[in-house]
Amino acid sequence: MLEKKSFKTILWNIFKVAFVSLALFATFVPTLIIFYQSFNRTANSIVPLSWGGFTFKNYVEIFTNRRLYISILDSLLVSLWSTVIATVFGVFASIGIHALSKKARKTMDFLNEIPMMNSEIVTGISIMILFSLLKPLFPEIFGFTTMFIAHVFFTVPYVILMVLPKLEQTDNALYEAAVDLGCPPLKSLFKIIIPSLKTAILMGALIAFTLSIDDFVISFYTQGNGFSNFSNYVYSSYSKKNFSSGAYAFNALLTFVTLFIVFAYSLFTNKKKEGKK
Amino acid sequence: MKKILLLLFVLVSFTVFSCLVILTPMDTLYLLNWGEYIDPDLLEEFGKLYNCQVIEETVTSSETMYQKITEKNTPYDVAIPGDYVITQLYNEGLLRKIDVDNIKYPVLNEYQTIFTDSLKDLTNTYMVDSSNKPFDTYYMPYFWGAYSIIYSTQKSDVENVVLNNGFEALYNRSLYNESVKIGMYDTARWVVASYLLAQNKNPNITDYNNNINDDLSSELVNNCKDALLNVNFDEFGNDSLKRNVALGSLDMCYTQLGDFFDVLFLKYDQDNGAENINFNVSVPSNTAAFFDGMVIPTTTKNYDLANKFIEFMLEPTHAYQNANAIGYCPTLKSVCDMYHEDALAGEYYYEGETEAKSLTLTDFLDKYPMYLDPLYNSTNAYLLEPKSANYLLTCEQIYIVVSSIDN
Amino acid sequence: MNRFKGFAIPYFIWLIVLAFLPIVVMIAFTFLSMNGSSLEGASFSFEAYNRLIDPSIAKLIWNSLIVAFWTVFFCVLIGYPCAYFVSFSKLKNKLLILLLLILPMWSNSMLRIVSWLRLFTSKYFVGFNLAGSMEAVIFVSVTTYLPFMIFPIYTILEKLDRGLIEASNDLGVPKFKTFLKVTLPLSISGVYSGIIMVFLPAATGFAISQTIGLGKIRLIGNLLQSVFEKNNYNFGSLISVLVSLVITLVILLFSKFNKEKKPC
Repeated sequence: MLEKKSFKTILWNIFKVAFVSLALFATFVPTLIIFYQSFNRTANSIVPLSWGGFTFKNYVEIFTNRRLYISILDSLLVSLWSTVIATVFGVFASIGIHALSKKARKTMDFLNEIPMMNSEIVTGISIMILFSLLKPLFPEIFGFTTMFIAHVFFTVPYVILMVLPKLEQTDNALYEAAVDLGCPPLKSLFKIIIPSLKTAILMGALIAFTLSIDDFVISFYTQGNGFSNFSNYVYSSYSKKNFSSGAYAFNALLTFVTLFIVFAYSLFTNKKKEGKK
Repeated sequence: MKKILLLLFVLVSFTVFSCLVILTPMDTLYLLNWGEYIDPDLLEEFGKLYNCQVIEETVTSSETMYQKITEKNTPYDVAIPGDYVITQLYNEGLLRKIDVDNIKYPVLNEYQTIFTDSLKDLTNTYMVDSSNKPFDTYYMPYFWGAYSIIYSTQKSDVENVVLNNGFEALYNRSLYNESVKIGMYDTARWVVASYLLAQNKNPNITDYNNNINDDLSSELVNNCKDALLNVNFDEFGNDSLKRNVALGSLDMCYTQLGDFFDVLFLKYDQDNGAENINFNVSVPSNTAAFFDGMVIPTTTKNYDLANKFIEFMLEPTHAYQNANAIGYCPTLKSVCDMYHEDALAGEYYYEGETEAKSLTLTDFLDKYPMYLDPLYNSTNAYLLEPKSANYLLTCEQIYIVVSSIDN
Repeated sequence: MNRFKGFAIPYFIWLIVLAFLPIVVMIAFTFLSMNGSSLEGASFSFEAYNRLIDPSIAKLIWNSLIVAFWTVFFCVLIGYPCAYFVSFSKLKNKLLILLLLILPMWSNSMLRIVSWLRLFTSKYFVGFNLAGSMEAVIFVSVTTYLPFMIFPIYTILEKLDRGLIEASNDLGVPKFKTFLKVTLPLSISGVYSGIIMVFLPAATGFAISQTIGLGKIRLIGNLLQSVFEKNNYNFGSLISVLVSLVITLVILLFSKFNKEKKPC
């Protein structure tokens, strides 16, 4: 009886592993192709995926192809700043929303849903329309400013989505106690409430960054003045002969680095846990 | 707290670093161009010569070009739009006159005589203002060509049909004995133009009585939709089409002449020479020509530099170098002459590993006479005219019927 | 805590300006026949609305909904079990597997789409004619948006009180029934947010249909993109408003359906 059961369990486990691996594999195929292309001498040949020999020149191109590295820097600039600002903005907005009365809360929730429920393309177009109305006043507004505002705009709701539920779970007693003991409210907020939200804030920031660095559609409508981003570089030139294979190399590098950090982190936390035991 | 400060420090130093890389204190020339449409070496040379940097932004369609200029999001100094966009921009007062009378610019001074005659004839007929006067001081032709068909020579049928039937070859599958794969450009307006050209008509007309009105007649719209559904093109694309014909995954496609020379060179270049090229190009006798011209939009903040740039690009040696690098048909008489001279001197179009894999310039010019004269074979050549927003939307609505989702 | 109400004010203004105002402007634009976005010489007209009669637009919207429906369907079908298996596994490094699942998101999505295209058109797939087919568009959409489905479901499953499941098991309820009666209803809100996160980009994107569909698969996003490319703010705004309306309608329908199901 026992053996039969464990046999079934093994089968079930195999199925589980196979299913997850298959899903993993399907999402990983493009990443594998990116790796392959990043070492391929003829990554941009007429014949798709033809192997022209192993090379590192694509990696060198990240630093030599001006159009490519400018687009990478543009992407990073927008994403890093918008992540920081969106996180700070989102945390304070969450605290504000949390404090609202029920009625006001409802309006706020509805408004906060707009950026999330609106499709990317409509969001991008909305912001483009809004800023094109401002153009007579600020002729050079398109570029970093518009893209940055747009990115903050579409990532803040995700930060709130992460932080607000956590805030609702937090016990107010500690905060109230601190205030009663004479600690100024703002200081109590920073010393007690915000540290308790740490994981949620980090999660929110991570999602914001991931969405922002990968964004194509919204950036498509808010670029200008020579300021674009990496996705738009790829979209505008992937079928051209001067498309830099460095794009593949950059992405492969990014994935390698993330993988490394992830593994290092999980090793580190595992050791910590064992140490605690 | 320390961690946050550290994070901020890293962020700020990164920003400073990026700004140093992105922004340079020099003069900046904003160039709005098509993708892979200028020799990067020339841009570098120009930058060194005038101690400035050229920031190039690229687009994939005339409409985007128009939009980018009219939006005024970026202060472009030089743009290289196509013919009808130039007319449109001129009519809307968005172009500045090029400084052709300034003695600083010896090439620009001669603007009336330096361009090839067949192109000049076309521009004199089509590029005119409301009082029929040419406005040729507002643009300088950059490259030109004709709408044409790139076809694969691997299927015996295809070549005959294309050469004998012109653009009809794209719309009539019954001309072939076997199944063929046909590619069409994904620009809605070009789809309509190709349909009209396939019927030996002027691509600018809006109804079957050859009138040119604000919008297409519903009869023409419906016929065009039917034709599209009937022929059921295998691919709509832009830069990918020529590559796919060269690769053999398409048998033919509707495109511009320059695309052919671009992919021809690519083919030679990628394999260090080529022994047999299994695709060719045909410019039908009823076709439309096109040219792209350098213009100075009113958004410019650096008018002098913009003029210097145009002058620089029109200097014969630079124009020749550019034509060699890009492969589109040159607009300058002097450049055509230089091609003939170099051919006589025994120069190569592509010098590969072996003689068999190479192509001499003489052979190249013999084989592809349309390079120096795109209209050598054409009896009717039109230029596309600017169209209303309504017309363009109607084209768009024609094009979207192709969505083959329920097949 | 109530003294921090004021913190909501900047965000409120921000949302009014960036989320609400553009909608008003866009609705106004649908009635204005104008040149680009400039209001000079704009005149009142219903022309854009006249164009809506064309059946091709309804068809495009329908196409987009179909593609989005299948994408969501497969994402749930694959994403839920993945999140479930990982969350309920006894592995030490659950987080690592989850991170592996979202790792592809760290490669640029545009580049991933291009990679699929290269693969589909390469010699290994020569007989299949994948590129240009609706199946390929849906397939690539699924692989692109799958992490968006897995992530919210996983988060909810992790928060789920395991005691409830153990209690149900202890009471002798079969495992499958426990799943249906306890786990699934409690995690449905994760599925719900996953569906929205996948549905929106799948229904309105234009990059996948343009590249993988070889221009033959046209979705509403493609039309919007090319209309704005032609500087037609009038018709473009109308289509944008229409897209928003359709999406809101679908989401409302869906959440109503979702609410009705909740009691059981």
